[in-house]
Amino acid sequence: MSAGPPYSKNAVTRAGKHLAANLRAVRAGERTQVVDVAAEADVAARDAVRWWLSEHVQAMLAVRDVVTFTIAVTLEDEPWPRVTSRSKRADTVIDKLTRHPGALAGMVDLGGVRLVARTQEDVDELVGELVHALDVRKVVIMPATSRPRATAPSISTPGTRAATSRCRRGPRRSTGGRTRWSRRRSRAGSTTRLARGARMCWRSSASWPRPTRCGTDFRRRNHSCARRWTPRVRI
Amino acid sequence: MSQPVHNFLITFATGEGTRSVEDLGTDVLAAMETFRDREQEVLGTDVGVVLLNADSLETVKATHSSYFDGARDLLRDL
Repeated sequence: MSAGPPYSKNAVTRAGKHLAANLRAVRAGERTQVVDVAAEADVAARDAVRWWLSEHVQAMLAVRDVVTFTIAVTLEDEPWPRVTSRSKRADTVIDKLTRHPGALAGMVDLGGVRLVARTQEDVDELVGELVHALDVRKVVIMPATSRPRATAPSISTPGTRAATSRCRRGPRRSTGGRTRWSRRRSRAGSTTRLARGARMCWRSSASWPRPTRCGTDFRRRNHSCARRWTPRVRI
Repeated sequence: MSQPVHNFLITFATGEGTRSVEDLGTDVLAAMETFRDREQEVLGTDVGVVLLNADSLETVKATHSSYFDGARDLLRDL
């Protein structure tokens, strides 16, 4: 039997609130340090927050692998896209808790993957693929009316959600007519294993005119989420 | 398939731009420990640190150019 995690989500949330209160006290001039190393409670709270942030590193890197892999198969001849990932700093996490009091265990945006592509068309195409590859719930385009623009997909628990993913109704995404259908068909049915346990299943078949991610409904031709090619990621 | 991911620790100071860039190697967890320790050291000062995972320093410069081209200082002067 494996040991459980050293901190519960409630303990992480309490630690975040503890350090946020300390930061507010520092700003009010009531304290000099957010973490007083002589105070056991401060050190324990800091360790809990650090542990919580480090727990998200592997998930962030797994998402990074999927992004890198998607670039490789989507823009095969394009060497430009650059990918960087970073973990949120502990001080910005605590600062955010002072501005938006809430549970640290429920905070999103603890890690990020940034992709810079050469053209806006490449960005649009990659977003179209990543929306399905990572089971993205929401895509935020900023600003909405001008170019170049940034695209921020919001991914929630990519591993577990993708493993049990169901189709979600939503707008179909155009890939600008630049999809490489012939290459994708050749990968149909194959599975590509990525680093850190991520696995990408290529699902496409000429016998399934409009397969979707939904295992039970993929034969319905008028399914709202119908796509000819659908990668699925399991982490 | 995957390229090794290097960990770059960038130290910067408000008003001074980037002070240093360190390549902490490919061990992510060890780099994260170093990052957290360094973060603790500079807490409360005008110095900041950020850990970026990328295949090369050129990639970091492309995706986070504000740490390298002085854009941070230009924006501060606005």
